[in-house]
Amino acid sequence: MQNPIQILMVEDVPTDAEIIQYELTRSRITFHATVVDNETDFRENLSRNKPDLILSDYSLPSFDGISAFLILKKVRPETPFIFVSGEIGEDLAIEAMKLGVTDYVFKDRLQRLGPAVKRAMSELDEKNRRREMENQILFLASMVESSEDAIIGVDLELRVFSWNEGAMRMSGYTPEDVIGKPVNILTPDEHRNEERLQFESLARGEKLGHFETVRVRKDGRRLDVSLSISPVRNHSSAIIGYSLIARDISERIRTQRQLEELNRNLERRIREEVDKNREKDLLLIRQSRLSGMAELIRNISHYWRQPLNALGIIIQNIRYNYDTGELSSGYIDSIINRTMDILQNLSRSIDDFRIFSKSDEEKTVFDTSELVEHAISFVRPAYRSDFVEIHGRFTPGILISGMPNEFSNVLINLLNNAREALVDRKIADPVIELEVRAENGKAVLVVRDNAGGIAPEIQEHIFEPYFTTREKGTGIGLYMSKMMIEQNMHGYLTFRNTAEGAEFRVELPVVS
Amino acid sequence: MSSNPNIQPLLDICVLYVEDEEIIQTAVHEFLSFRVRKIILARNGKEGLDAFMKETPDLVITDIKMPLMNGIVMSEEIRSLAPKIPIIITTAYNETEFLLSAREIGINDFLIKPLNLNKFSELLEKYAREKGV
Repeated sequence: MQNPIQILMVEDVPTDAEIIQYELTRSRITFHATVVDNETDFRENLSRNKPDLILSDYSLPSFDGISAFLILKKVRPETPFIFVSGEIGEDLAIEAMKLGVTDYVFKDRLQRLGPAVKRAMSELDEKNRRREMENQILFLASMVESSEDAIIGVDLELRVFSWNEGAMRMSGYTPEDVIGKPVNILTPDEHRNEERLQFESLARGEKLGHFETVRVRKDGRRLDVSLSISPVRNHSSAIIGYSLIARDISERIRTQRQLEELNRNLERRIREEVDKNREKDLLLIRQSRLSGMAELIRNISHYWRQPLNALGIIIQNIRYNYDTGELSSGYIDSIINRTMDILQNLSRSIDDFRIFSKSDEEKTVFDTSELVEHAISFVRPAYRSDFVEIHGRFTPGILISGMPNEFSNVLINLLNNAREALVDRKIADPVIELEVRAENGKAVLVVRDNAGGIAPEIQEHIFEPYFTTREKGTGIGLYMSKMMIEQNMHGYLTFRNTAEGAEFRVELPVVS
Repeated sequence: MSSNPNIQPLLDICVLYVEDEEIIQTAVHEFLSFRVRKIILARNGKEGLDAFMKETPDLVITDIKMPLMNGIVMSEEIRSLAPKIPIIITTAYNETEFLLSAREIGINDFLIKPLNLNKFSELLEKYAREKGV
């Protein structure tokens, strides 16, 4: 009672009020008093000053203690009310106490006032402290209940006595299922020994910290939890029980296990990826060879058509010559000669085409112009059938090193791209210009068309594998060509648009 | 020389034959010489058109793929000059689409390569009859 007590006195006799106050001082009570003698002042003071204590006379001329008490009970019922009055008789005193008045002190025995006030105030303190404690307890209980974690109270015999909603949700056990039962019904067999040792260690005063373990739900399913067990002590620090707080970590454990498995498999997956990529490369090569073969077949069919047509007519003409008697020996010789010429040409073309498609060839040194002209002679018939003219300017004597067929294939790829563009875009006078020349000590092959050029948004993609703008295109040619020129022949394959169309340029080191 | 029942009389028509491949041209020319009276040769569409305007053939037989001017373009030009003249094309293509579009231009008939000379003969006789010889 350090702070001065605010006292509201209901007393009409000033000297009485003084004596009472003197008695309080004598009892070493620090206070501040206000004196009223009527109802209005009493009410006003109650609300304004909020006194800690009321000291009231029993009867006053315009007011009385019982009424004052009843008013107090309505307005501030926790405030202690002590009657300080003259003799009123025991019955009235008992009536007053029955109403709930805190105490009764007679004016002719004022020495009782000090102790009465002190007692009243300490009772009030006590009541307040108890209420605060109750609020705290309610708050803590609500915290426990609303917690997502399982919070379990266990007594010294390790039996469950407190079980929150979190525990119920996590384990499937209701409070009725577990209260009074040993806490190890939640523990799987293989962990029971460990748990027993843990409690023993805690009982000895050792710290445990939290740890990860496994517990069992009511339905038998196992749960990965992070558990912490703490001793609960009373005022004298004796352990009166334990609190277990458990958090469900199955999600985290699952993620952890997945990560471990991922790591374990990582090496294997890297190996698989490398193999897959190698497979993709092989597929690319195979596809390019297939599309190359399709081109080849197309070229062959065009190459053969007219010679076969000619053979047919030569043979059929025999009948007319015989019928008109002109089937002379000389004529027969001419038939034979012409026929054999055609057949030899066709036969040679088979060999040449076969060589073209051979893949396991060796690097040699060859004349660029010779090779280019040779390659063109095969595709000319096919190109003529599309009305595409090929004009060439070939400088002889420029030697390069490489695999001749591979190089021919690159050339034919460039020519085909040009031809396809010319045909697709229905160019009026389609022309492909070819040049073989030496430039700054390098062998240069240029393939130029008048198909209108390559659109800017496509230009950066044309050398990518599988990139094509044609419906039936495979998109392999330029990629493979670039690979061949750059990796196998140590050269460059570049492109630019001219005023009329596209120009591809192959640059290779010259062999001296 | 004994009379041979298989000798056929020459058809009294003038044929313009346009083909750029020499080996074919020679062989077909030989065949035509057994069947028609007059033959004019051309090596490409332009020559063919010039020849058409200079002489007056009764029938035009032409290949399609030729340099300078192809058979189709030449045929269109000839058609515009002489809407009624029969035009036969020799072609390697037997796709219906192509043949139908050729019909639209006014091509009268086709000979698929490799040429069957009997069929060729029949066509010559047909157009000779139409001309009235």
